[in-house]
Amino acid sequence: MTVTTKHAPAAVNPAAGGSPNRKPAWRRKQAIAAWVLALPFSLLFLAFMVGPLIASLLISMTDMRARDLRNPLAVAFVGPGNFLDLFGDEKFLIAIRNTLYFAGVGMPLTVAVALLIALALNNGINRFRTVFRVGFYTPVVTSIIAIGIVWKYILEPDGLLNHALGTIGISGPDWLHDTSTAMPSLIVMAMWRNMGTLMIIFLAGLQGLPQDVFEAARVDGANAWQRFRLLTLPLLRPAILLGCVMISVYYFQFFEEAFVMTGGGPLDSTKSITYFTYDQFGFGNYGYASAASYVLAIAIGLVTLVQFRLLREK
Amino acid sequence: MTPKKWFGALAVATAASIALTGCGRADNTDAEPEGQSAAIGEGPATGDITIWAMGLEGESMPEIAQAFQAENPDAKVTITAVPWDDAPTKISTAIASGQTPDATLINPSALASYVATDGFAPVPEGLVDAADFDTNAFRSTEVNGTNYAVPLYVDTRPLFYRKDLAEKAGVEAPKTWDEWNGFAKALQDAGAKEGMLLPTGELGFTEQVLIPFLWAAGGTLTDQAQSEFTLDTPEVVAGLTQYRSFIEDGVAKDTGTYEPWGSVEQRLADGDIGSVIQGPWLVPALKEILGDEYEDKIGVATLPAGPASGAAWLDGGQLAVFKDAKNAEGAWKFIEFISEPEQAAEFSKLTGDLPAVTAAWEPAGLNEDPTTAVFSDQLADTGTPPAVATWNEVAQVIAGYGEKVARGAVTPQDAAEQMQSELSGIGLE
Amino acid sequence: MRARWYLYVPLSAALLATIFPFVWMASGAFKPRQEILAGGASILPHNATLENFRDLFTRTDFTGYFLNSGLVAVAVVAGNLVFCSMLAYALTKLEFPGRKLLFGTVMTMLMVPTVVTFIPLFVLVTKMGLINTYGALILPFLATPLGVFIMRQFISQIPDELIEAARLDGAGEFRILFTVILPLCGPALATLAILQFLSSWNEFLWPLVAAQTEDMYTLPVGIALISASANSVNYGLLLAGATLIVLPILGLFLFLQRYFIQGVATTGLK
Repeated sequence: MTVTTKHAPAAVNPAAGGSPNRKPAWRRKQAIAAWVLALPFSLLFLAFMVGPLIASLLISMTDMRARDLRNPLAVAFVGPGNFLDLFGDEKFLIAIRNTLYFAGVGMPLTVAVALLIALALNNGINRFRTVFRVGFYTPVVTSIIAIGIVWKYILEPDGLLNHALGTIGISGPDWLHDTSTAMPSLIVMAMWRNMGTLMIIFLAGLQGLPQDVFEAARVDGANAWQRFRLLTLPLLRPAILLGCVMISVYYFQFFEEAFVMTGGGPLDSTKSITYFTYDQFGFGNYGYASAASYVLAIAIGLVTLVQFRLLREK
Repeated sequence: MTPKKWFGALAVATAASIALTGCGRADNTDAEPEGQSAAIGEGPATGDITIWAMGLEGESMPEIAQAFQAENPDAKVTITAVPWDDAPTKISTAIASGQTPDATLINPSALASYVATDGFAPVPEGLVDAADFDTNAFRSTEVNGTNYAVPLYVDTRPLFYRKDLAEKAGVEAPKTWDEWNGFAKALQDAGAKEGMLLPTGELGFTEQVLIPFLWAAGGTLTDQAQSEFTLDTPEVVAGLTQYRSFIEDGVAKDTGTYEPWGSVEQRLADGDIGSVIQGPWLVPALKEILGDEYEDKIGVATLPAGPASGAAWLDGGQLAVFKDAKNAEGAWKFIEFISEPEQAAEFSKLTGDLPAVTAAWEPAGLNEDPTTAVFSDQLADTGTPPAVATWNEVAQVIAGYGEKVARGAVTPQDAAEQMQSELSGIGLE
Repeated sequence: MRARWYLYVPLSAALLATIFPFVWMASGAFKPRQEILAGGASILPHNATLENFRDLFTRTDFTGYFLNSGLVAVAVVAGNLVFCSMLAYALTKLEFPGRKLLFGTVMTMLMVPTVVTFIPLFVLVTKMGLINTYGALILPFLATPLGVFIMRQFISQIPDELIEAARLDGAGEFRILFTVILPLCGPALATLAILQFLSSWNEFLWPLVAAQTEDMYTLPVGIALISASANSVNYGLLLAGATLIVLPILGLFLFLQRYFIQGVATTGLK
């Protein structure tokens, strides 16, 4: 099935879905049917997502701590106090900086590498296609608990990576214990874990590109680089947008890699906002932790909006 | 699920959300300490008893449960194994929800924070006799003058070292701080890649090694009444200075970590490290690797003493009963049972733990073992962290400063000062 | 077609680097404990052993964890396929009051980090009396915004004429959804199935707190449990368990990957 970008909007349009001379009774019947269809999801969604979300917003405006959970009504309302405290908390500011570093470097890197792989796979890899696809996707499905151990062995001072570097005469650093290399190591690990997802998205995008346009460009004498820059990239914009949004929502919640590999160290250099929140939850400071998680949620919302602005229009 | 429960839950959530905004905190909640609760009844235990236990203890406890059920035919004990690392999350969420098992194994340092959330019931009057237990271990079950748990096993952290390398270098295990760095240097000269493994990061439970240095120098974390922190003192600075000196003297790395777990014994056996401050679980692990060579290669010594003491970190496991337990009486009876010297000895044979019940040492065959004798000596000189609800947060700050001092990011003087102000912000309750 | 070596060579190198940690993990599962701790760089075990796998099945309730994980994942996938399709159909093809608000709310939740709702969710599930039941493991994941997003994107491309024709034949909305729409949604359903299965299968923190007894543990919780004993980790068991945990998903992906890519192509990239 090939779907071009053009015919989707036309299909969404007539939401009423009917010819003009429908009667109101029919409309009512459809509305009832619609609500019945929407009901199971909506109930679950209200109960397990919207409700807890509102509750945590309220908690973020109180001084709730672990000891209050058995009697949650006996807490004091502190308004925006937690939020003000957060921005005076040096550890939180460090966490913001680390999260921006991780996402700011990791996102473009992951997108670029995934795009390269997808382009290569789409341009002349016919044999072993499935092997390549599944191979590059493997890291996505591997559980972090176990794969973290493997990565530690790779990155140890006398680990596999430094052994490999040693054979070409380079003595590698203590990757995870050096404040300057710990974060880059985690970024590479995150790239490894996530490029498979983006690769699939970009492959899908590439398959939907109109081949005749490329053929025409080739006939007109455009070289590979020109075709890539002037045709592939612009046409791939929706896929890149989707990839960027997905990966940034994920990268801004950066936690697992640091949790498993560095514990947020050395010297807090890999402690992220989510990690900060996790710590505060662990310490039982629920009000403070909820406020921190809301800051993160708002940041993610803003970043997503900005991306839509930047990438959607031209 | 019945619709009634659904709506009930939604109503609770909504009501809680709305009511949250209106209420103030009542001031009188944490004032008076509660006394021990009334004694439990005589007679055999009945009904279902569920207990959470972690690690090796979780694997071995079902055997004791079997013996218990043989004596109490109407009781059924279920031991649920829980990962150590994740136990705090599980226990605190269980307490928060009121949906708990009957009892759980915990670390002494975590007790106060669970008591603060009103999670555990006081130990019933007359259930056990304090005199039967290791004194410090029993004291560590006390929060605000009330006992909330019964000690199961103890562990402490003496100095493990490569005996063969020490002999080769012609040095003996150090008795005091003055001899310590030279000892580590000698091990290094005799072939160890690193004289001593000193944990310096957040993953290595750094505070458990660092804080004894402060104690040994005569420092304390808080005043006697646990009302304020007392870290900005010359003694604490001296302790931090000694900790840092291993790195300055080049006998330990500033990136030391006990991770990955299980590699410490391997590194010691391989001579990657010449010595390490570690707990009793290292003994069976080393014996497994070294076999007959263990006696020749591994030495254990009490911690070298500083100006004030040679106190080591006291840890271990204790059993506590939840306030929301459905079968508290059954759980207490099981705890009473496992605290009998005979059962405690049996349990020790299964786990290799040192029983908190001192009378169990002999039947467990621990008195003949020379390594155990060192542990026994060290147990006479131990310290425990203050029993405060904020301990986890306090520990993270202290470990963080340990790392900063080790890496030379702050001087010991500045670290003491900054720790004092940061911890005072966190508070002691 | 001629093999393009300038593509195959670097891509194969990249592939090897990518799967190396995974291969090391799988081979580690066959290594004795000492060999793992020695940090051996060798890919192949020197003294290959099945001991880790044997221990996995004898010393732990691995089969039980596996069945729990499977049951939960299948229920979550099935629930999402049905509920998300129902809502997505209503949102795209039917007119009803509150449609915009509902859609906006669902899409907003796409961006909310899970850590935000964790504690209130736990209290809620407890108050409902669901803790330590399959309900607790399944219900919170049955309605995911991502599923609605994917299904909506796909369904919106199905021409209205098809639906109109079915309506003229007297079919109700339910029948239209299940007999006309869903049979056309194969790729989207495959995409949703893979993504939901993956996240359910690897979910750790929630089952850790929601399952209170060992018979309710899922695979990741079980693995964390068996790997950590006292103060040393049994890496052999851990690697063996981790290898087995990955196989079903890899299999699923292998089986559905064609549809998966097609599904992404037609849903995400409108």
